[in-house]
Amino acid sequence: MSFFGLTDPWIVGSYVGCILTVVLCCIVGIKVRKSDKGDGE
Amino acid sequence: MSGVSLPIFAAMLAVFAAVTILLGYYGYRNTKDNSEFLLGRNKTNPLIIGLSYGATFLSASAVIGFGGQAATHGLTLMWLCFLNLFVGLFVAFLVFGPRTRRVGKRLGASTFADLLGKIYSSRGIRTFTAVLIIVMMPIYCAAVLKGGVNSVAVITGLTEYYDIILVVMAAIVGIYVVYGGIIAVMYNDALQAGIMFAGMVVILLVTFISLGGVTDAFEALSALEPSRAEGVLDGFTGWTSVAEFGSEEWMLVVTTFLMGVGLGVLTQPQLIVRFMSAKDDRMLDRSLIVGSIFMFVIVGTAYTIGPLSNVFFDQRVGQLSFEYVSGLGLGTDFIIPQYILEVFDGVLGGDFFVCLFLLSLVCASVSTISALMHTIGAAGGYDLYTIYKNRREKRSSADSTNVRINRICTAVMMVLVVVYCYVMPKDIIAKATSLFMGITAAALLPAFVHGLYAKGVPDKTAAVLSIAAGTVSYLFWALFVNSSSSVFLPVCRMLTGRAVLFDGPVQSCDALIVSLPLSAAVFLAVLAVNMYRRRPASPETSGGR
Repeated sequence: MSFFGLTDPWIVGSYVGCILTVVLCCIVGIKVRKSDKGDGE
Repeated sequence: MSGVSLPIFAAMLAVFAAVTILLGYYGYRNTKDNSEFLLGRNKTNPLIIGLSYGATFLSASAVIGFGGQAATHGLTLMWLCFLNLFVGLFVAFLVFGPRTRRVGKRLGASTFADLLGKIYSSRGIRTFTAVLIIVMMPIYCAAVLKGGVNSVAVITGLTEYYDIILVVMAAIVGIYVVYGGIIAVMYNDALQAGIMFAGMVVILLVTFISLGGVTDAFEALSALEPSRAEGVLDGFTGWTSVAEFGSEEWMLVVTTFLMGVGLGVLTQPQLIVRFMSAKDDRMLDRSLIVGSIFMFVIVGTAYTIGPLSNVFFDQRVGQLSFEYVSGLGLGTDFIIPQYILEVFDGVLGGDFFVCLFLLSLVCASVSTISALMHTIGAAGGYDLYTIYKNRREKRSSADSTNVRINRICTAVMMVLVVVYCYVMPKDIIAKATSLFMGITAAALLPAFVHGLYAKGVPDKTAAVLSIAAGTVSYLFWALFVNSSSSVFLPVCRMLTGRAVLFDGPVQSCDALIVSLPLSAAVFLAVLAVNMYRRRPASPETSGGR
């Protein structure tokens, strides 16, 4: 299987991992936590 | 190496310098006390925090240092991009960031050393952390400064003005950090991040266009014969595959470049301060959007175009990047700059884009240097000065409020960093980065994690012994076993006549791989012993006889 000409699963995995992490970060950033825990914790 | 339009670059640089000084002035006007100099909590927002974190994290080291290493060792370095994003951003912002911000605010901490010292109620831990920053961080800072100046001097052909460029760049950074404090640093970071982003997007597009598209480019890279590679170790299998497991090449890439930098980011004092600058947790969450996109574009581009430069040079001159650049008398740190110069040759607006890339490099260097200088200055002018003042006046705790001492200390350390630039070996940008990040993680990560998450009073004894074990083991391994890091201070050669103590793959294993588990193991062992000793006595053993 080829991913844009790349066939090594470790290299393909690194790109997929990066993209998934960016998506995760954007989801967390958009769905920001509703309650902010107290600063006194 | 030449081909840069000096008038265009000079004009860009003049506008950049003017805006930088203006933002420095803005910081100066908004810095009324030490808290604003150190944290500037009321002047931040998610965009500024995200971009500032990214720009501080990614220096010229990421673009040209590690980009050059990616050209030599291949796309395996994309795992570093993943670690940067996942550990350096996602985990850092979600696991460490909110807790750091809250604990820091509760304890009234303004620096990383201050935070650790107050968590453990330990003057010793605060002193050690500040001294570690003052001793080790200038090496990293000098590597970044030297990398930026080298690139500018060589690409513009102004190598005879190397000294002047070095001093001017250091002076501009020094002025805005000394006077503008963290507010100037973070706002300038955001400006510089914007320029870096624009520069790298253009380079990525031009690279794929010049190589016939994404798939064609990677297929051509896969087709390159691994036996033609130079500058690699035993076990290298090509630019689009991971090296043989356990080989010297695998050890170098995975333990030094991936783990050393990937994990070391969690205890970077200059980054931890960004968490403490946020007003609330929501601000940190929102920073993730811009921070992740920025980091993926910058790092992903550098580690992708680095290996692809081999295809470009192979098609153009029949040589691979390392061989071609070595033939020009340059090192791996110049693979990316040389590639940029040649890939834009003949492209419409090429002069402008080469200048934009050069300005991006300046920005990448300046953003990191400014944050490091601010951290080094605060370690001396705030942490050590506070400890000195409290000891002299026989007080237990009263933090310094003297902004002037911070400013003086920052200026003095800037001069020291310039001196370092002249005594360091060449081609050490990536390795110096790994060294600093590695030793801070080995020494401080277990204590930092425990300090943030301990229920009740954190275990000071465990922290002290873990810090000692991490530091000593890291220094021993770095100076006597690892061949890459022993060049910084050749103690082993002076004592034994050999560069390192052992032959074989072990000399490519980074010190962090040994010292961080050791530091964590010591921490857990002492913690377990202390918990056992402190456990409540059972009825059978509590005086039944």
